[in-house]
Amino acid sequence: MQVTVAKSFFKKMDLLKEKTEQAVKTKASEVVSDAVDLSPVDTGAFVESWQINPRGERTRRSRSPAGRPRLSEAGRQAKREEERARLMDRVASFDFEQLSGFTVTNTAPHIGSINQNNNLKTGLSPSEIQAVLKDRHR
Amino acid sequence: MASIYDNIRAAFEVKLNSVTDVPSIAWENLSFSPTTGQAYVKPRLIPTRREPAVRGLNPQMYYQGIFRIECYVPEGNGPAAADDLADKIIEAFEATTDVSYSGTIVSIRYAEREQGELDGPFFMIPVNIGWYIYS
Repeated sequence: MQVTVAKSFFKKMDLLKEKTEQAVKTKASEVVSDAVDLSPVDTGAFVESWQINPRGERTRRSRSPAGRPRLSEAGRQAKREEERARLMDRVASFDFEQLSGFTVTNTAPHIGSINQNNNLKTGLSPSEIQAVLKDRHR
Repeated sequence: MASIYDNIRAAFEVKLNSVTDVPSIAWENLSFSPTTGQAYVKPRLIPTRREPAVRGLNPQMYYQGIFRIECYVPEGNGPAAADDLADKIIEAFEATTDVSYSGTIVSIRYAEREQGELDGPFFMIPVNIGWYIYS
């Protein structure tokens, strides 16, 4: 008996790997983009505190608003775009062959007091942002 | 004609109002002053998706979102009262059941709670009811 594995099988496997990597990248990009869009921005500390990690990695970001000036409306949008780009770069840097999932965290020190900030015209508290992210991407 | 969101909200609010032993309800965008020492719940409708369910012209739409109910109990008395309240609400909005209003049937995807936290003179546990509807 003989079993021959044709070259085309390996080509298909490579293609499958490529498509899987693309799907994971797309999902990770959607999650971070939603996180940034839903984030309230005043000084930018909260949105800067988002981090995306390969599962198992424990790097955290925690940016304090203390002593930072409030951003203008244009500055807020620019800050969002800057943070989106940083998180996208982070996603692009993942080793997809080793990846077994990813986590999105925000450990801003003022997370508990954001709801009390009347300067933030946001509809969602950090805890609600977390619920929305989970709902959209579960 | 009422918007689909009006009916979705009504379906959840009517159901919440009918749950036995639920304390005062701080309805969304209505004036409510919590009384220190008295439990209350604060519901909120948070739509998260609206997209075509199929391709083509005038497609059926898919809606998804969260009906979030924050359960507040007086602080300093332990978590049991908030746990009981959250359990009661989860039971009333159990996953795979439906709520309806005026012919609109909303399906529940999941009902889950988060960790409790202190909020002023209250201890609060959020319950998230995930829902969807095709319309």
